[in-house]
Amino acid sequence: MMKHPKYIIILFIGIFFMACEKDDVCLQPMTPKAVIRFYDFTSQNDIKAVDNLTIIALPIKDTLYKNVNKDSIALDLNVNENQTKFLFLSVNNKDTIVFNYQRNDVFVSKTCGYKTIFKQLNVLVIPDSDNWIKNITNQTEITADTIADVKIYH
Amino acid sequence: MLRYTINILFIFWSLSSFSQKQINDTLIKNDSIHILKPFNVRIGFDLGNFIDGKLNNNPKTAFFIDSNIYKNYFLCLEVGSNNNDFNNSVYHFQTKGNYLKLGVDYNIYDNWPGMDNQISMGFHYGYSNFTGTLVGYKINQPSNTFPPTENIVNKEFKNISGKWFEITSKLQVEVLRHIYLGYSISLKYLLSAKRTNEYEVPFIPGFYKVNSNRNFGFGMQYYISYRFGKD
Repeated sequence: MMKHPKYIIILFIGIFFMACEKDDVCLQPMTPKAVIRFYDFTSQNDIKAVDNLTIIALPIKDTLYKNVNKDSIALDLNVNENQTKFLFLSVNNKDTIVFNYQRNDVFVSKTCGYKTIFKQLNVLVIPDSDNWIKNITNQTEITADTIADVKIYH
Repeated sequence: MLRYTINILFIFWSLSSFSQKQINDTLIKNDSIHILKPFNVRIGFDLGNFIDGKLNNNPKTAFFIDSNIYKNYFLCLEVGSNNNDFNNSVYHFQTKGNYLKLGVDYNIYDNWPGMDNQISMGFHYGYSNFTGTLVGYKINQPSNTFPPTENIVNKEFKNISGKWFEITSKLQVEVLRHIYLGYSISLKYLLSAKRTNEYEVPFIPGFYKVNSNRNFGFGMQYYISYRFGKD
């Protein structure tokens, strides 16, 4: 009757399984965080952890870190605006840090969509009567999560 | 998943219906033998995609025309029009366009005299011309302190072309005199680019869903068709 029924059934089953493969999981690196490392102001090559560090995102007042003892942190920047402010508290001393930047939306893929990279980055601390943060230096661009973008001396 | 399970059942169901028919045909007397003459033209309509399009408010239309040009070889041309709306919350892309498929089907089914059924293996080339619209996107930020808002872009990319080859297994059964019901399953291989540095096409008219990681695609169509010409 049919000349090659077996081969056809095998082909059908093969096609059926090939159709099942998913491609909706995004595995590529997306919008990078701002990586911050804390250094000793008196001996500027040495990493120095901050005591009782609390970080609050402004103006939404989300507490991102609470009373931690860390020498390195990563923060999400606001991709809807060209500025993000954080409140850095160390042993009840509040300092406000301002990130100013230009946003650049980069297409990655259908599954991942777009990511933002940050250019012309400028990080500063708003001066007050008693800043625990003595100095800040930063890279001008944030394109990946890998390196320290911002160095805070205290 | 249920849809594919039903499709598989349909394949086995169709095989069993042929074996039934064979018994009846053995009763046909020699003097009533007729063999289908070449150059009979059959026109078909893609029923499955049409209904699917109506239900999802996403118009899809396709017609095909085929003709038995030589022995068991059929020349087949299909034209169609598809719309698609892709939105996975970070990327919203719409596709709208037409396509054309041209190829040869070889009927491997041995018809008994008086029958004109088709189980064919075919090789087709597909070409599509379409417009893609990047409706909008939302920045992908793995953890977000400040939830990204959607950016509306509405940027059109005109005259994108899609090219592919496909191996098609098609089944058509004459259910009433001159009227056929059938379906085809295609394994497709995309030849054209699916990505630029501004967009990636999630769908190509006639090719259907485009997989980011590989060039293979899959298609299934249900047809109703009518054959012109004498038996």
